[in-house]
This record gives sequence, C-alpha cells and structure tokens, in this order.
Amino acid sequence: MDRDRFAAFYERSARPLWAYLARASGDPALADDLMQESFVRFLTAGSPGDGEVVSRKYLFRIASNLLRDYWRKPRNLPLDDLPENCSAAPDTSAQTDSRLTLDPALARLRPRDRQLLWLAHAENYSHREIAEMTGLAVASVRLLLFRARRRMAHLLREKGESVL
Amino acid sequence: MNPMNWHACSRSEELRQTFAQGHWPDACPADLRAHVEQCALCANEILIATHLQRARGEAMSSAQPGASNLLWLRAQARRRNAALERIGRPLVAAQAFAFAVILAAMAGLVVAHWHSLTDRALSLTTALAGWGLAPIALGIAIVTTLGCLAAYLTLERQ
Repeated sequence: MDRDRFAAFYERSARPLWAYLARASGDPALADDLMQESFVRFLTAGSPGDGEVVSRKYLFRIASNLLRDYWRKPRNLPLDDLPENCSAAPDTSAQTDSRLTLDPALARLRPRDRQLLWLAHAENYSHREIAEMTGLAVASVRLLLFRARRRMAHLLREKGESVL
Repeated sequence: MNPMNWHACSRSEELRQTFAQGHWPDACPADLRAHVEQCALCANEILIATHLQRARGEAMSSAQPGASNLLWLRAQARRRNAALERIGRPLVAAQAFAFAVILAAMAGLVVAHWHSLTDRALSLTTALAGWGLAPIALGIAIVTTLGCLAAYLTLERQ
C-alpha cells in the first residue's frame, strides 16, 4: 500500500477503529495508543490483500489482538476475571442519551462482551468474521454474543429502554 | 419467538439485514415488526443494535485521529529497524562461529603443548607461592579476562 492509498484508507478507517477501541476498552486514551499501534502494525505487516473490506477486517483483527494483549498483561487481571466495571472510565467524548443509558450498561459488561457486541451490532460483522478477528471459535462467538445480548438488554431495560 | 434453536431465531438474519439497510422501524415489513414484538431474541437484537449504532456515530464524531503521515513514518522506521536486525543476524552467527573456532584452536594448542605448559606453570606457581601472590595473580587474570569479554559484548551490542 503506497502513501496516498494509506492516507485515504486511514481517513476512512481511523474513526470507526477508534470508536471500537474506545467503547470496548472504556478508555479513550488507551484507544488513541492502540489505534496508532494498529495502523503501524498494519503497515509493517504488509497488505493482507486488495480491497477496502479485507484491509479493514485485517485492521480490526490487529486491534482486537492488541486489546487482548493489553487485557492479558500480568499487571492486569485475566480477561474473564476482570470486574465488570473495570476499565469503564467515563468517556468524556460521549454525548447525549448514550451517557445516560448505554454507558452504564456497557460499563457493567465484561470487556470481551463489549468487544463482541460492538463488532456484531455497531460494525455489523458476521459471527465468522468476529471469530477470525478475535481468535474464538464461531460457536463460541455465537454463544458469548447470545449471553452478552441478553445481559445488555436486561441492563438497558432496567433503564426503561424499549424497542418500539 | 420463532425458534431455530434456543439462542437464535430464524428471522434474526432478515432482521439484521433490514436494520443494516436502515429500514427499521419505518420501512420494515409489518410481519417482521409484529414478529419483533413477540420474539424476545429479536427484540434484544434491535434494542442493542439501535443503541450501539447511535453510540458508534457519537464516538466517531468525537474521535480525533492524528495525521496519517506520522504513522506512515513510524511504520517505515520500524520496517527499517527490522530489516537491519535481519541483516545483522548472519553477522552475529559468524561472530559466534569465529569465537568457537578461536576457543577450539586455543584448546588444541593447550593440548599439544600440555607438558611444557605444566612445567612452566609449576615453576611460575612455585615462584609466586614464594612471594604469596598466586591467588592475587589468578584473581587479576580472571577479572581482566571477564572485563574484556563484557566490554566487547557491550560495545558490540551498541
């Protein structure tokens, strides 16, 4: 990928990637760092193939690996043992209604649940694509997503949210 | 609920497509809308997707990505460092090989001249013992050797 193509790709991908990292980690500063590192690794690793979709999936995969590595660092608790409201520092950039309803609900989910929900419902990736990005089995993604959705919906309804 | 199995609904894919295309709720078919009212799984899906899509929009508008040029340069620098490291690997191997050859040559020389060396060492030790300096001389020799080795390795790494 040459410099101009990268600039265009960056222009289109940086904001969605930052949104993913910020919401999954709950830490905008960490999202800044991980986003930069993701793009640098994306460039040093070489192009995964032609096409914006393939490149973006590859970028999200790198970012997911970085998130996982961050959560697995010895100074942090293992991913599944993290307390539910850990790393859910208030995102000062968030606005309006989501502060009142979504943020508290997300903060009470485990990091991996936030990650899976975001990839599935904010980025609209399929179970297979999420499995490729996160290194989980497709069946595990399906089951974890089901549980995360159920818990998230319960938390949102506690706040008086409804579908219709 | 229209069960496909206990954690999925047979209409969830259709619902997902409708939502992704922006047809929910106004342009959604009436039967699908009625289904969502009755299906807990689909209702959860819509509830969460609605909130997360809104949050995505908000987060994207508040993101402040830096200049792509800096990342490009960082990547180039990292690539160059990696290339230099790759190039340096054979040199390190060659140095290790040369060191091993020198050690082997020294060992060969020692073996070849063992008798004369032991005779000389005995005479030297006798002389040093006479002065009481043998342990000190041995210590200085070891420290000097190790110091030279450490200095070489440090400079070589730098």
